[in-house]
Amino acid sequence: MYQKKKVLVIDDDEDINKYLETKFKLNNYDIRCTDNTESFLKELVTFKPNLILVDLNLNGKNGFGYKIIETVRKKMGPELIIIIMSRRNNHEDIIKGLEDGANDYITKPLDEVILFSKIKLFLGQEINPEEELAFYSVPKGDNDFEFHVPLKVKRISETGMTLFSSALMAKETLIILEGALANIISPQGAVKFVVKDVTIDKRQNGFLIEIEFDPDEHSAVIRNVRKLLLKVAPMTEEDLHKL
Amino acid sequence: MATSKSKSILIVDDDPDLRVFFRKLLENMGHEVFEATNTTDAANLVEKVVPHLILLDINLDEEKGFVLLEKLKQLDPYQRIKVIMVSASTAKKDIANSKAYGVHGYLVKPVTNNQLVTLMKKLQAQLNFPNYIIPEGQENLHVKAKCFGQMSKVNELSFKFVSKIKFNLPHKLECSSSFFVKHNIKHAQFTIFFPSVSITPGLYETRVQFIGLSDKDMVAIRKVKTKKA
Repeated sequence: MYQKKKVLVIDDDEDINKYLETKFKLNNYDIRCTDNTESFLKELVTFKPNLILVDLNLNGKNGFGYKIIETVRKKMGPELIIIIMSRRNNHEDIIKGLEDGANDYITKPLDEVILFSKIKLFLGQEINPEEELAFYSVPKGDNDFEFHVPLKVKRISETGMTLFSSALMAKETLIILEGALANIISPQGAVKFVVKDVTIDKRQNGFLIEIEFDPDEHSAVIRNVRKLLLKVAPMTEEDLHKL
Repeated sequence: MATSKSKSILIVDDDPDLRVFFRKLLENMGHEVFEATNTTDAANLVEKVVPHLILLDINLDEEKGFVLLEKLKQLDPYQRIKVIMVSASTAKKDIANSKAYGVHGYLVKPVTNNQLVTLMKKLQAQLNFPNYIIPEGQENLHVKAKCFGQMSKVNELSFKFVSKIKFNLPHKLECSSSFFVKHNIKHAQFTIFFPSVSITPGLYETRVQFIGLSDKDMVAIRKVKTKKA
């Protein structure tokens, strides 16, 4: 049975509330708007919204919305989607809002396309490709991109390592290992590797990435691995059973 | 050029001719060789280079070689480093002491080429330190992989990039690009909501949502009107 998604708003601006009520009804949501904390908190419990829109500067009190975000996040847990609305374009405001527990931030005056794109995204609703904002090419000079993938170390030996990753890394991917282990095995705290092999780890819902040490390129690393291995106790019967 | 068969060997002997003899032979076999004339220097080298094997003379100038074995109890509590005692004597007492310490062999001087080569062949397989396999639930050695890609498309809400990584689960992405710096959106959070899409085998396009952009930031992105992708 199809259930409408429920949205609750807290904003002291009457016009905003009217606007949102109209737009959300048109888009087939179950919408309720409040303009004070008391009724908002009541509705939170009785109406049980999937998503809330919170004005950051309620009653003209700068940043009052933060308290609401913090309280609600603590009370309702991670599943409720919290989106902040504000006239301010301040990066600090945005970062603080996200840190206090909001999922995202929208600037006023509200852009309908952007508002509903975000709502649909966070509520896991299907977005019509025709309704999507047009993509532009990123200029070649600026398109460099670096990102980090967290890994778990499963095995270390003098010949290489096995790492667990929830994301798939194709063979021959170039990676630079950083973090606690990299600090131990390399004086630079970073070691360059090429992925040698990848296998699926169905049980842990991810992949086992194999990397190999090159005796020339990684001679210092291999020595540091031996230093590490010196201090590791041999596996017990119990450990072997766990494998 | 080192290979994975090359081992690290420490020679502890006060006889310079013997040290040269061992070094030449072992280096010819492709191994890395270190030398010490006393147990203090030897212990320091063990800490510094962690050799696979120690060739230890029982009768050093000022002391007995066994002193190093005592020090090794602390440096190498699980006996990963193999030790071969080298001695001029076949004295039963020395052999008995060596056995008590649990060394892996005994060479009697004068040592021939053949004897050393045969010994190395015999030991080769045992010299690698055992694998360290981290039991499930105890993975506390954290690492992250810095990976590289190229941003391909962008709009006010998200961007796409191409790389050799295929993401399957939604999560926050730690990432950077000149594009973010140039358009002053470094403060944004980046979240992957959808699994990556395969372009060709081994190459994937991933969509990342901008979280926490102000409308001023979006105006900056809109200005990137090179061509519609």
